[in-house]
Amino acid sequence: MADMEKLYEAVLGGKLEPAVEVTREAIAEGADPKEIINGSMIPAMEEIGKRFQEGKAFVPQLLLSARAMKGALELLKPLLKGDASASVGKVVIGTVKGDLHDIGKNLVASMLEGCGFEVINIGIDVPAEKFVAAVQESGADILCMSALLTTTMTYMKTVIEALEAAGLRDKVKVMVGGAPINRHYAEQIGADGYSDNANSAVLKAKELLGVA
Amino acid sequence: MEDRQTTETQVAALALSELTLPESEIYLTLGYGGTEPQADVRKIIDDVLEEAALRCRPQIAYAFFDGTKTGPASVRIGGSDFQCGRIIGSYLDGAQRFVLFVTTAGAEYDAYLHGLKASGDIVTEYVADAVGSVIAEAAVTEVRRRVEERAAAEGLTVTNPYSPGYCGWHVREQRKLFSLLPEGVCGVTLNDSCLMSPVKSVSGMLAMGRTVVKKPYACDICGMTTCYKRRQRT
Repeated sequence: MADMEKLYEAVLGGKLEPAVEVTREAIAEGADPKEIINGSMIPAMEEIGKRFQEGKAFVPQLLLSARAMKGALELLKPLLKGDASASVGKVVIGTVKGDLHDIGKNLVASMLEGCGFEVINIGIDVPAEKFVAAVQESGADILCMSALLTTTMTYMKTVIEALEAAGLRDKVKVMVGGAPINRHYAEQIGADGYSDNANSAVLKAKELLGVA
Repeated sequence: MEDRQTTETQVAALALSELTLPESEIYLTLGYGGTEPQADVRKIIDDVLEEAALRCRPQIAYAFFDGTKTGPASVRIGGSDFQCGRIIGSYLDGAQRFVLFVTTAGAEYDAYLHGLKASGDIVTEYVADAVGSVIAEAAVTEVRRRVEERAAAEGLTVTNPYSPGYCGWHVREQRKLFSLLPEGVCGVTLNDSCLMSPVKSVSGMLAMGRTVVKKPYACDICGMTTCYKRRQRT
């Protein structure tokens, strides 16, 4: 019988192969995919997130755990087709126009995916119209924007205004992040949330959707 | 005194082995404040460094200028007025000459980062991004070492390197800095937002003088509490 404690430990320790192996065994034995996710994988991600917040784990460990979780989730996804409750929420994420910084955004995207969000990563140097179109087409619950420069962070407000103009602002939560961003700036431009690291971004996203 | 460039721009392509990449800096950049990563992360770092040794072609460029501190937050270098901010300005008292520089981990390293992104391996991508930052900074250290050698021969000392975008010096001032160096120097260009491409590049200034000093660490002089560099070190 598949050892679900081993799955928990594999995700927590960021071990991709054991995580995939145990998940495969569990599926073969007919385990409930949602039980695998909620019983072992999400608690492991929550634990590594908690350790990170306490300074007992570091970004690479978060990412290794997210990678292990994602690998196992790939096996479970086909079994969850049509089950809307299987996804925590849908997120569109991108770096704003004029800014080519990728890695911070990708960290957040990876952590969100690892924690059960469906993530549509629309890349870097993204103009407002592309953000709006992505939100419109996907019906995203959250739009995440990243900027690493003081010269580009002002474009976040442009995107929020474009969402308003398109009649989407009350349909999607907006989160912002990046080196020069702080809570005050987020409030000033009318964003719903701000985070300064990939783990707190997940916590904030869950909070905004009422699934914390 | 007329502000003018006093030497041709020095440009050098380096082998990665010519740079010192302290493990401690890589760990700090990855977010390990004073802690060593576990074995699996250290293995990824080693793999990235191995790849970097094969692919990375760092470059440095620097030029010497006469200059003058024109106010508590401003300096004139090579005939251009820079608003470097009060924090940096306070460390330029006694500066007699200035060096403007650009360093880069190079286009090849950027291509490596893009390849990692395309592969979807976020852990290696994150590590390689951090290593790229350390390479670009190590190239700055090499510029400073070369400048220091020359300064010592003239009985001068050299400040820390200061860059637009930090310590109150606006990132837009990179335009002026680049205008004083040959176009496309080291293959580095600025976009409309003053972002350098290749991304793993650094531009900045050093000041030389009889009384200027190198501070132990730049965060000690900067009041920006939300800066990501400070967050890395706490």
